[in-house]
Amino acid sequence: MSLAREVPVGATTAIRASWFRGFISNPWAKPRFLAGFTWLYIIWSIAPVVIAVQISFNAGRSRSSFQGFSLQWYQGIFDRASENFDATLLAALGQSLKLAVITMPIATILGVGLAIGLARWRGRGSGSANALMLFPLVTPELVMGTALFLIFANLFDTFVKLGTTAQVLGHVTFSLSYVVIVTRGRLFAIGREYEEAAMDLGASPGQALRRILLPLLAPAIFASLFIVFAISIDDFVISAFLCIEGCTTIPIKIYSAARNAGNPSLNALASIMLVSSLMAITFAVLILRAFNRRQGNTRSAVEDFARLEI
Amino acid sequence: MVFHPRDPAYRRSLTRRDFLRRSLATGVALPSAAAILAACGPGGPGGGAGTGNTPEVRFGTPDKPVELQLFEDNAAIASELEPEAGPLVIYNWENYTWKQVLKDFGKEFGVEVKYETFYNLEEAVAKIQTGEVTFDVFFPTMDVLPKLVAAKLAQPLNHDYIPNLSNIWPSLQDPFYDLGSRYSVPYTIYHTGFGWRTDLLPLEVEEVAAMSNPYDIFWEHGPVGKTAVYDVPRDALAMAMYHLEGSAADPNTVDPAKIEAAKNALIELDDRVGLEVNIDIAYVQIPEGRMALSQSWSGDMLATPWYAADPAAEAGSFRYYWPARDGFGGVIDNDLYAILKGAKNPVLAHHFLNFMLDNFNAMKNFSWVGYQAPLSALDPADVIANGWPGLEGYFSWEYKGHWDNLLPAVVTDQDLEVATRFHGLPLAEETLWTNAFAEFRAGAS
Amino acid sequence: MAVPGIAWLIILFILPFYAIAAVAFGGLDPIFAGPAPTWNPLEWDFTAFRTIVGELVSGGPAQIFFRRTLLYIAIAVSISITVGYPVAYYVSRHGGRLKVLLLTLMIAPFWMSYLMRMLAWVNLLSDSPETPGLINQLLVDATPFFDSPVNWGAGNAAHMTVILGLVYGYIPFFILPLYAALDRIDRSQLDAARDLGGSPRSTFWRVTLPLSKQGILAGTVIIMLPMFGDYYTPDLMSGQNKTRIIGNQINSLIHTQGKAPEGASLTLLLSGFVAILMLYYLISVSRAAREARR
Repeated sequence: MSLAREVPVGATTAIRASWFRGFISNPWAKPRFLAGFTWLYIIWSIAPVVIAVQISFNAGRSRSSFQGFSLQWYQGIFDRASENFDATLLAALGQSLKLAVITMPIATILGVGLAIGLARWRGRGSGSANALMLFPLVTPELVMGTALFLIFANLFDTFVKLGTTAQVLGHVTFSLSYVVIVTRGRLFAIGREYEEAAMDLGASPGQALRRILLPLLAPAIFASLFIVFAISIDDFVISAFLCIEGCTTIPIKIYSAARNAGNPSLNALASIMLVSSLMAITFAVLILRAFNRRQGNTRSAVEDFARLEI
Repeated sequence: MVFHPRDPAYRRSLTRRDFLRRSLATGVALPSAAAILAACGPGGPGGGAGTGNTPEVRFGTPDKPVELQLFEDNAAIASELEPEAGPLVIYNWENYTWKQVLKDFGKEFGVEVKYETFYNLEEAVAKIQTGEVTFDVFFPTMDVLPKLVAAKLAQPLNHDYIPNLSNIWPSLQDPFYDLGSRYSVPYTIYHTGFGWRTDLLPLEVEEVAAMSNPYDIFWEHGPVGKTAVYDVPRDALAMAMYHLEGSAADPNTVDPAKIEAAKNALIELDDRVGLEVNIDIAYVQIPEGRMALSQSWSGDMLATPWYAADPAAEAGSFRYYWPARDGFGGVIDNDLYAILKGAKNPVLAHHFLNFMLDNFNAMKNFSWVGYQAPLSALDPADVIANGWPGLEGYFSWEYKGHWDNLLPAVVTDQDLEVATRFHGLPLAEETLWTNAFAEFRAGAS
Repeated sequence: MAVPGIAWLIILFILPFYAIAAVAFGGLDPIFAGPAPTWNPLEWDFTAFRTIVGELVSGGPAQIFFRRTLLYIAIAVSISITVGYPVAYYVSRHGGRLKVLLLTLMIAPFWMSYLMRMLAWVNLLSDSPETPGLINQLLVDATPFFDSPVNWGAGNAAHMTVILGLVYGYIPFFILPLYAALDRIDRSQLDAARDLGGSPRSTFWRVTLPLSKQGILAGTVIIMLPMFGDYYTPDLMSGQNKTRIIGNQINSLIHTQGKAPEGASLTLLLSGFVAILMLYYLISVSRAAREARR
């Protein structure tokens, strides 16, 4: 059947009418509506971020209206002599980064181990171990925060004091599941052939793991590191519950300022975190892209990241 | 499943008997875990004081003032000790002490001062109870102080370090909740009235004073979506009681019927206007224009010009009224300083208290916080109108002209004569209030 | 290999639940009426638990919060699906050269603090006369329908404000897994459907949508379950009583003197409820996986 037909005279109207009918009957065929919808969503999604950054440069003290451009709030974070100087802001920034940096390796190592162990688990109990691993993902943070506070305040108080250590332990617990999920995707994609081939060629399981599997997993491990970073710096509930003194993080400061009078210095802090997170994710994507290129994979690293098929 | 010979799972699969043997061993171990738990007992490491040796919690009332007990194992520090090297750690509400004043103290004593904050008094107390804190100075309310004393979490004060105590109003040097100021020193004093902005609620103070019961302003004039009460059971319910019963209301009542009636009045109001229930309603949300009428502690309203986006334009429209002055009944309350038992710098903490009771430092703090210390040498109205020697140039005093309509928010010692004081209630009675408030907070839908 | 991770989860995840139970069924400390956990199960006291169950059954505060939370979450999840599916669909199917850009923009909000974004919304919606937020500025100045700023916190608008806050905070967590699922759909299956005579619309309804069901389910679970514990979103977006949800109630009970056992009991009940939903999801996932293998 040929799709090319003779167009009779006077058919332009007919063609236009049929296009119109086609549009009405299936508006989703033309992606214009979807495109518009998606861009509207993106604007709605990003607008508050842009506004928050804009306010961080506010010359006045208001958090809702822009009163002129000034760097005073950034100065208030770093510059001791500035009249807006608040030492607790820099302390909060430091604490957030400290928690994130300590949590990253611990969560990643435990999580990768857990993912590999779960994938290779053959016995009974793998189902419940799997469920156990997924539970922190869906447990409301409020529940975990209260529970951890009670445990650290009552049971473990001889070993672990509330504060930074407790916060790290809480963050790791919370992030484990994310690491496992990310690593698992990659594990399934890799399959067992490489390890088995290595063992056929005489490697011990441990060597196969170290020298074959882990390098293959490297992109997932990197991605996990950055995901844990993002989770940790944005965590509010668990950090707040497990903090007594000297361990205030940026989200805690933002929340307490929301319930009292804040000023744009918190916007400045959040903007700094935004930039550092952006840099971290860019770094991660670049590394992923380097890996992809080395393996001849032509897909975009960002796409892989979004699909968690790292 | 085919196992590669080198795969550990292959070897593992041959040792199911080992697995069974191992799990039996765990099974044997479990009861001993139960034994450990049993040893923890009902008291537990974080639990209470065990069987019956609990020190009593002494709540004083203005009619029956109370001396807080002194314990042998919780003695005050000796006199004439050298101040420590710091850093001094203050544990207070957010924005409740001016950092400038802390810096001045730090300069005078050559120490660093840290300011840790809480936004919920119970949470703060819970953290103090864990015993893992090293805060030096705490700011409890008068119903929390006796509990801290009974739990030996606060230490008695050595007045040798605090000569400035005599600066305080005589009536507060020997308060009913802590005769002899054994454990506490007053920090700020404030009354609980209400504030509004005339551009959103066009009423003048005279019109409100002329009402048959000014507390009715909430029920009769509260704008929809712009009316607020405090997220504090005693304050919110007490206001409803004053609305229902006028000056005869008793804000310390334990009559369940009265509490229930107050709760229903609040619920009715909430249904109509959608009350905002929070802590920052007066000093943040009114200046930001998010609220038009709000329950307000006097200090909150005094701080509003500072939080307005354009003080010159807006401060003129802020108002405050405390009905007790015109005989309609009202509450006065004060916050306290206490030094925690676990303080690392008790001598420094005592010096801090003394420093803050100095007239100039107290006024400097007042100029930013809005809450005044009850000092005899002060005439806050005069200060607001004319400034205080040495305090020119501090930014709050720039708003001198904008505070005239907020003069009613200044607390004088005559106010104490017409006010009713809140006092702490024992747990069972306090629970009546918290339960009623919780039901209010559940929302009617 | 999995042992350290499992051990960690047991000590720091399972054991804390036991701590919640110990508080829920425990006593009160005599001075502060704070929680006094009872570790020995033989000495557990169930009064607080019974009170909460009683409230759930008889219409007390716990039931009010539960119903309101379910309502909010149902609406928020529906909105998330309605908004999120077309976006995920567009990016995965019609993204083309802009795909990377679109994905980056979609991931971007993650990198600013959740609380900060919520606060930014509060400021955007502000109806203060001197400093109205952007939304009110646009409505009043740019459209002829509004004379004065709209109070988004008043009356029924407060409910919508909080629900939209929930949607805003969680929808990226819905879109990304859904995008991943949609992207994985084999193009050849869609082409086959078209070849067999399906119109674009019927291809969507009868091929794409069923294939993306797992993705929708995964996304729904990922956003729905944490919403049960969210208490800071209503706190930030609206201070009113009628928008408080179960997370607020748990938080408030735990911090009110004498009420911690009730708060812990409510926590246990909530966790149980969430666990049931979670199990349902796991079962359906394993069923789908089994079918896929067949």
